[in-house]
Amino acid sequence: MRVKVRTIGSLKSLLGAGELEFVLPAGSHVGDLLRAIGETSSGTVSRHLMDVDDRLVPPPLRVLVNGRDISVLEGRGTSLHEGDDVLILTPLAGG
Amino acid sequence: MYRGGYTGKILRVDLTRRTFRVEPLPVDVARDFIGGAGFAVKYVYDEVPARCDPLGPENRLVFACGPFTGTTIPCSSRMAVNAKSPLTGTMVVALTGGHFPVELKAAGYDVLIVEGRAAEPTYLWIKDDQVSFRAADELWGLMTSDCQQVIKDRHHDQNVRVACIGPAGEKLARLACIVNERRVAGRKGLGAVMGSKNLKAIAVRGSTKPSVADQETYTTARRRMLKAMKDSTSLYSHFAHHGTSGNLDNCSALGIFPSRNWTSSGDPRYAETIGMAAMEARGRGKTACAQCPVGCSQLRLAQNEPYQGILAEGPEYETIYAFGGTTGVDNADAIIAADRIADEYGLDTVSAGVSIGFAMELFERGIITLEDTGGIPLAFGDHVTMVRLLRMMGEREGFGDLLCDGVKAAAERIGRGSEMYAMHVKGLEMPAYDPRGSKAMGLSLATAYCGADHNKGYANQEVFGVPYPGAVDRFDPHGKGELAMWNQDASTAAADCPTMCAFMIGNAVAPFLYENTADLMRGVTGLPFEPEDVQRVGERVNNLARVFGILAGFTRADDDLPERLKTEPIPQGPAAGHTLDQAELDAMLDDYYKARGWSPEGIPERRTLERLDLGYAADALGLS
Repeated sequence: MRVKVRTIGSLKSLLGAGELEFVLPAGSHVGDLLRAIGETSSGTVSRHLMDVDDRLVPPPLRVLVNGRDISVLEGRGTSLHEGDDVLILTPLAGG
Repeated sequence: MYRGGYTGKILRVDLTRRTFRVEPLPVDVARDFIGGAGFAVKYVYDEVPARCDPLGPENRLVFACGPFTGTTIPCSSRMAVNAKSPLTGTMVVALTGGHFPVELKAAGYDVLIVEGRAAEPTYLWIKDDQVSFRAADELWGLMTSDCQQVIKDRHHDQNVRVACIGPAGEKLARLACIVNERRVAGRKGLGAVMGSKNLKAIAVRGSTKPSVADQETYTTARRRMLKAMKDSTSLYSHFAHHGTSGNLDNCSALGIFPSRNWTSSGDPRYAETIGMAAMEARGRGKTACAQCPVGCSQLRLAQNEPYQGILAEGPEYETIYAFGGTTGVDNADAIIAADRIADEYGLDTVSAGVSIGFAMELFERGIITLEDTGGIPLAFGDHVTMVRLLRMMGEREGFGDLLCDGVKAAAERIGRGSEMYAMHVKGLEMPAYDPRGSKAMGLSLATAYCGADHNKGYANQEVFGVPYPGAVDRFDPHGKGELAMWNQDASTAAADCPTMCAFMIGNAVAPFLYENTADLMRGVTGLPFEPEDVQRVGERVNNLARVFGILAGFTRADDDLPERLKTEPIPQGPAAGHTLDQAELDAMLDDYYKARGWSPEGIPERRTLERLDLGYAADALGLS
């Protein structure tokens, strides 16, 4: 299945684009997607996506599936489906 | 009387009689209201008749620092300013930073109350215990940066700090604000109140430092706060280099960035043209408020004609939205120029931009014509006309005379169904968060005592995913009553009262927010504050401000959002299709009033007010 991945800021710079398409096996979840992104990118990206402490302030990684924070879904175990929009945001807080 | 933090003195100035006196700050006021926004609300409640004319002599301006102001607590140079607002008719509390707050405290005052009206243009000169009334006829008409510089030169002291109004405040524009350095007590027409008193500026120079009551507790608490700031994933890595401009990219990605007078929320183009990257490319270093190790204020230089060479401190996210998105302008240089011009005239950037966007939509719809605009055609995206209109608003000239009082007043004067397009709550223009994609944010905007102020109940949880007090679904209206209350009370008590920059909440201290303030309060003042005491102060301040609004004539009907947000879904982008209709808003209001201990009509119940030691407010409402 195909999912759309959008990102901004420093992660966008690291990935080289603000919008990417990823093909994943059916039944994949967010954790699988993050691993897949890490595997196709540099070690920096991989660490940024996988090696995170969610207790930090603000959360070092904010992931939303179809607009909703995964923290109110199933976390990294949130299932993904064909055509899902996955937004990965780098930390910032102020406006 | 005070072991630390407070100076213990209120400076009361009577502009009519040209007299002043110094009064003691009562200890029970310090305990019950902490300082800053708390004092500002308390003294306006006590001394300003709720039904008075905001531009008349009965209104008073209250400038209040807190016990943290002037200490070495990081990010503590903040000051609350309050009065009855000519824009909203409520009390309002604006917060400013920079250096003026610390200087007022250094002069020896926790609070400055300005009453009456000077017979001639006047500025106040405060040097420690010397207070004098100086002629401002030569300052009248000056832009704010010139006014500040001229005063410093007059006193042969470049370290004098000045809070002043520009031509907009002099001309009583309801969008006028008070400017100190390049910082602003903005959003609510406080500049017009100052102008109505013929008060051009307040200049201050001080020589004292607050004491610290309990050095060990203070040092431990301060170190903990500094460590949280250092450990933040965003504060020094991002915020210190970009300020709030990255929030455009963030909100755009969430689909809640409003544009074209709120007709095209979710339009993705602005992140590329006027977002973080565009502003970074124009960066010329940064400045910091006193006692701030972060320095989030970015200096930006417009690059292209006709704006080349104009420098602004900013623009911040709200200003980018106001002069960018909501006007349809995607020219970063024009936004920088508009930011600087608004600051010079002393006009609130957010309200000014939203007012211009409102006029653009009316023109495109044919509701207003060239006859109304004095021959100036308006169109979304036309930045040259935007800047032209901004100057006209600052001068109250031509069509600017109608716009400079805000969208609510403009719609009332225009009629012809224009009210439908006026994006405000209680008269205060909407800030840059679409409530249809951020429900707790929307509820805060609908219920805040001063109208649509994003800084009264900022929903860090929805905008940034900060999971304190818990993670939330931004589209779900359930549970948002308690969350809006928590956000309003927490930012009030933990930031706006002691004075601490509210950006430290989402970026650093959210996990121990009330503890942070309580520990620092005990350390600085020696007063026995626990986290629940701090929380109660926030509740107390917001309830008292609410009562003032009720006495001024506000009801549940005013806890509302603009009509078009309740009848249309977000039209495009990542949050397309999401709605917030009247039924949902009503349910959230019911939820909020219940959380607050208010009646279904939104009136605080006597038992709530008495629990908060506000029995006198219950008496004022005539509650049984």
